[in-house]
Amino acid sequence: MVEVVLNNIFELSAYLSPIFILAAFAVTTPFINYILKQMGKEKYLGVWTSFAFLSSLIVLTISLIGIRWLGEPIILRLGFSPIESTLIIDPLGQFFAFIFLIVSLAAAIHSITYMERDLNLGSYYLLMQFMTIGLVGLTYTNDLFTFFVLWELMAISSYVLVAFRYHLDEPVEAGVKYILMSGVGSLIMLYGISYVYGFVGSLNAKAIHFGLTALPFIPLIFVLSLLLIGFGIKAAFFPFWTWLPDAHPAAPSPISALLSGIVIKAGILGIIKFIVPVVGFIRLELGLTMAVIAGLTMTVANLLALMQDDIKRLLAYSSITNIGFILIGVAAAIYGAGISGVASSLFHTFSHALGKGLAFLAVGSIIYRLETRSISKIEGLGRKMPFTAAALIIALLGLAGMPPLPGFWSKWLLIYSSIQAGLWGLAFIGVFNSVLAVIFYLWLLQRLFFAEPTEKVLDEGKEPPFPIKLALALLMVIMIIIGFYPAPIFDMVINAAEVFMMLFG
Amino acid sequence: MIPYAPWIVWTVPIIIAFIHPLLEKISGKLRDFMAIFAVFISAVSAASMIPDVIKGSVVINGVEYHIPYDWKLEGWLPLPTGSIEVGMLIDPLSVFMANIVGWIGLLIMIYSIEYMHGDESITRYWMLMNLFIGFMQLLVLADNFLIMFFGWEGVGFASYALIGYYYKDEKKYWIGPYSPTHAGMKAFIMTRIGDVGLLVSIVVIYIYSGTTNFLALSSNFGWMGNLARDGLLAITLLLLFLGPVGKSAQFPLHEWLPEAMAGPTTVSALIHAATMVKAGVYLVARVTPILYLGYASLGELIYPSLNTFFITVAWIGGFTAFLAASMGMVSDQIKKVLAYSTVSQLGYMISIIGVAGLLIESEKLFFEGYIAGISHLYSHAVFKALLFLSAGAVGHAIGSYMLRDAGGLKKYLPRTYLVMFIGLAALSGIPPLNGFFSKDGILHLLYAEHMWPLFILLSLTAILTVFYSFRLLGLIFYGERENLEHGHDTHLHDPGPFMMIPLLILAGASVVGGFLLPNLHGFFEFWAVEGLGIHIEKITLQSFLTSTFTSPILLVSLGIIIVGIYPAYSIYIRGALSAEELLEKYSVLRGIWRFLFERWYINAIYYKVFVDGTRFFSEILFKFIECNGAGQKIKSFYSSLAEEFRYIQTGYYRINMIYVLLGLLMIIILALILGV
Amino acid sequence: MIEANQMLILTAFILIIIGLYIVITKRNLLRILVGVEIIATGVNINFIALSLLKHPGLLDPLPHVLAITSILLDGALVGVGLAITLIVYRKYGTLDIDTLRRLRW
Repeated sequence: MVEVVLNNIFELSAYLSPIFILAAFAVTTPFINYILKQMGKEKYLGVWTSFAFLSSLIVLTISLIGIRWLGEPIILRLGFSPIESTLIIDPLGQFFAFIFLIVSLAAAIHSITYMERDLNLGSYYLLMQFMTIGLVGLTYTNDLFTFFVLWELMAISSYVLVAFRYHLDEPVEAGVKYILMSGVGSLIMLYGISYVYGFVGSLNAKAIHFGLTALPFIPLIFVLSLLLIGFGIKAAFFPFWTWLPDAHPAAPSPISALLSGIVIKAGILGIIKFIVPVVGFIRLELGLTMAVIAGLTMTVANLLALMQDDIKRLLAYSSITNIGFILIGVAAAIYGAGISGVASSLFHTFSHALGKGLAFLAVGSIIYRLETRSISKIEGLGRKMPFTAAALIIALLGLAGMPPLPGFWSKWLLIYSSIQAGLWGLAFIGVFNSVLAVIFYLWLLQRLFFAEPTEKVLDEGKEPPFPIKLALALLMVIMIIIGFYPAPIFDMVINAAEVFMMLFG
Repeated sequence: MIPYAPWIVWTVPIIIAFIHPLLEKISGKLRDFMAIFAVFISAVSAASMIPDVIKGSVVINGVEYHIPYDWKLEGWLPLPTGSIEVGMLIDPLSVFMANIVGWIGLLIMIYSIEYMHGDESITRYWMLMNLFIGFMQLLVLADNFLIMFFGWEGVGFASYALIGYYYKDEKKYWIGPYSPTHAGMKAFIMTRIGDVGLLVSIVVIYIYSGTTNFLALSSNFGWMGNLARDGLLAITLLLLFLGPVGKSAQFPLHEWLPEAMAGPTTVSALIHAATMVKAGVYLVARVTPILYLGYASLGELIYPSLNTFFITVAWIGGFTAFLAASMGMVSDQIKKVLAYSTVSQLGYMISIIGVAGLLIESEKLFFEGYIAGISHLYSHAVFKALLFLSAGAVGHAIGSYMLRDAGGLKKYLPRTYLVMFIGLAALSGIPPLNGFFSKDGILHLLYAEHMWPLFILLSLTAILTVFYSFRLLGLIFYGERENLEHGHDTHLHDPGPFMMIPLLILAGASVVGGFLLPNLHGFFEFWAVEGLGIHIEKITLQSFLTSTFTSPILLVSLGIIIVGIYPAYSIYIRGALSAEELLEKYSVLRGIWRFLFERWYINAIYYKVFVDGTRFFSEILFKFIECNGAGQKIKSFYSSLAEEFRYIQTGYYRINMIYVLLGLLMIIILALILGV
Repeated sequence: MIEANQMLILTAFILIIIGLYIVITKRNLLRILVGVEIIATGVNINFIALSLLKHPGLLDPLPHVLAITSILLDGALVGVGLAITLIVYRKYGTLDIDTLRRLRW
């Protein structure tokens, strides 16, 4: 572990360049917006935002390779004790940041055309950038204080984005529920953080690990369950998922892609960063608790998903199911599988983020042309919009774990880790649920490709404009490449998990 | 060998499958040609590997390698827990299967030209068929479990799409009360249940051995010993067997195959008779030698687990054979009879491979049983493809697959009658057709080893097989031609050359196939000696025929044929007795008929338990959680299950918050229960 | 004898319970927002109280900083919440959250 004490903003910006680039773009966005508005070309703000994400992604990739090469994490100290904030640059966080930025980039590109008919694009893109800053920032955090601040930055931006089209009924209602539920969740998490502080006297991840492991059982459970609710409401697992099927479909499609693809992963990130190390070595029983939650989350959400006619709502439920899958890895990690558990969670986070992002963007393309979300109205879509339909199907089959797409590899790793941990039942529930999911996806495939096109599809169906296609192609190509050649991601996630576990080892 | 043959075999059909939409735009003829050409290439490449296997060595890039040779692409997925490679395995079993798939596939594709002529979505048909053949070849040639699983999933997917090919669900394609799409869904779900077990067991084997490669697994047995020491070997193998149970439609997952007949008949012939359902048998045959080698080196340590596994395999196969044959006796659709017969014959194969495993202590008997299974697989692939295709010809002529619409067709379709007769005679095991020799081999082994319960069960099954074969023959071709008012009879004629030639080739293969079994034996000899270390005598045609026709089992076989034919002949062919009258007269027969016709009520029980059970469960749920209004309904297989579940999502903010508190409570309670 | 900081912890707990009670039982959006604010207050008090418990006599700045930050963020939360409440009122003419039940399943 390399420790660096930072003295000035320049050093900081060098180490945290992906965030600083994003921040620099965000700060200038209002001015750019003003200029573009004067020119009457407001929609090109999307290009600017995409450019922000792209440059940050490039810098991040370099840093990712550097970290892989260094082989150990860098810890940054800023401020002075005891309110110093420590940040960490480790493969785990970088991997998350990588996922976050890829999906954000695709969503931003998609927004260029998708949002062209909307007003207030300046605030839309600004909020999108803030949300991404919050998310990417979260991956660097090493203490609960910084984590909470960035968490709120991300959360509040997302509240506004859900209700962005406030002239419609649905976003408003979903927004109200989302903000009330998620707000209370954040506060419960903060309550948990206050007790962490009360018991440990510090909020640093390592201190938490040592402090909490020494606690007796009852207070430990109390603190952890408060934290778990905070993370859980954001990650939407059983039984906290209720806001998600409202909020995610209500947002504009690129935002849905962000929310379902990466924002809920922030909760997973929190769990992996702050809960797995605490309980992962001593309290194996908590693995069983997580296993029960994972099983319930998957099964209930899957059953609910089967009934949807609204395609976005279907995808939202499928997100909950996949959160359940990711929790399999978490449960296995806690229950003794350690590295492979964390690695499988990371891999599934990757495949779900890309798959769900792609699915929502593809649906966005359908909505852009047909302005409907009802599955029964988009039957036979494959005839008129083959590219979009193919993207949707690749996304769904990828999520369902059809080889050779990333979902298969992550599920392979998930089963591996859960059996390695001895959680046979969980492995079976997991595989069974993926079977259940496949049923629905196949049924959807059949309706999209084989059914007679509806009149609406025949009249209005047309491939989307270039930016949407580009966004879809970006994610689709990554998914297919990783599906056929998963070695790099395997390497990244296993390395990330090893280094992460080493931190606390 | 053609250079890169094992790769060409499966890549060409898959690649061609994806360019079909493009080819369609150029010309319909080109598309049809390419579809068949792709399969032809695949078949020829598969055939080009046969000499190498017989010779026992293969020359690749100027270097000579021993068979079995594993052609790997290194560095595809180097995992710290054990790397996984894409590789093709050249050994007798894989080359044998690749040839079956390739050549029978080719004949069926040629047949399809005429059979599917004028179908509006023929591009989709060619695409899926090519995709299927490619994945099937990948399945049989893969050198490790994981790549095999890719093919396994691929064929499942292609089969799903092909069963539901008539997606508009016209009534004439329905099998029983189920529409084609429903049937496809059901098939997919049931086989996926098997895949769950398969995938989990592959992962378990990988955890214990660090590899999924067949050759690596059969050269290093530490994994088997460790699994046995942890008491997991038997359960892992049984989980593995769940895959074949689903794919090869064995009890208790046999219910999907009869409905799978809703697809085009060519699909039934290719997928549900000759190839895909054989994947399960293939997997069992693939695993058995590995277990044999493991036994040879570990001995008593793993013997109990292997015994459990093989007894299960043998008995599930045997029981399925009987169950399906009994259902086949009363079925009312031509294709359904053939489907039951397929399930039944697959049961024979699986059972005899299980028996081979039970005889693992004696290397010679093990090999004999193993070859008996393979031989039957080969015979069955030929005559069942023949039967399905001739059934297709019948259906083509009369426009229906219901037995009540058939009858008295002998004089209208003489050539179809001839080939179907050969097929049914082969199925019944009438000498000297191929079915006789392979079934004789199975019964002979059981007889020689005094496995009486299985022997009696499988002999009884053979009697039932003869009965339903000749019942089918009688109902289609004999009796009076009724239903003249439909007007179909005006164009009742034998099919054209594209359909007839494959039929004749297959019929010829059924006739001479039995005499080729010694060659099949010879095909596996080198591998048995070098790979398994089994010392076997060479079998010549003469010694084979002598031993077959002098063994006491010949009498049993002939007895079976006579006992089976007599009632079928007198009821359905000569018409001396009427089935209806018999049923009316004897209430016992009526009861049995009902019981068999309802498929032993197994299907009904499945629907009752899994569909109605959830409905009951959800009604309870319904009472506690308030609801009103209903969203749009979607009819899916699990709709009843899912429909009620969504009332959890009430939309009340308050209730959502209560869920949060309940969740807090749940976490704490769970942690306390599990932790203290 | 209960010390002052224990008193404070208890108070915080009671405040949070009251807040949750309001959030769960009330139907008026404004009241629910007030409930959320009460929870926030409770949490902040808890922070300060625990800092006193952890380091008696010593002023640890971390919880105070966090509490102040949290107040700030609550402000933002309530701001967004009130904005949406306003839109809800314009749209539906009522603040009853139970009328917002279009999204059910």
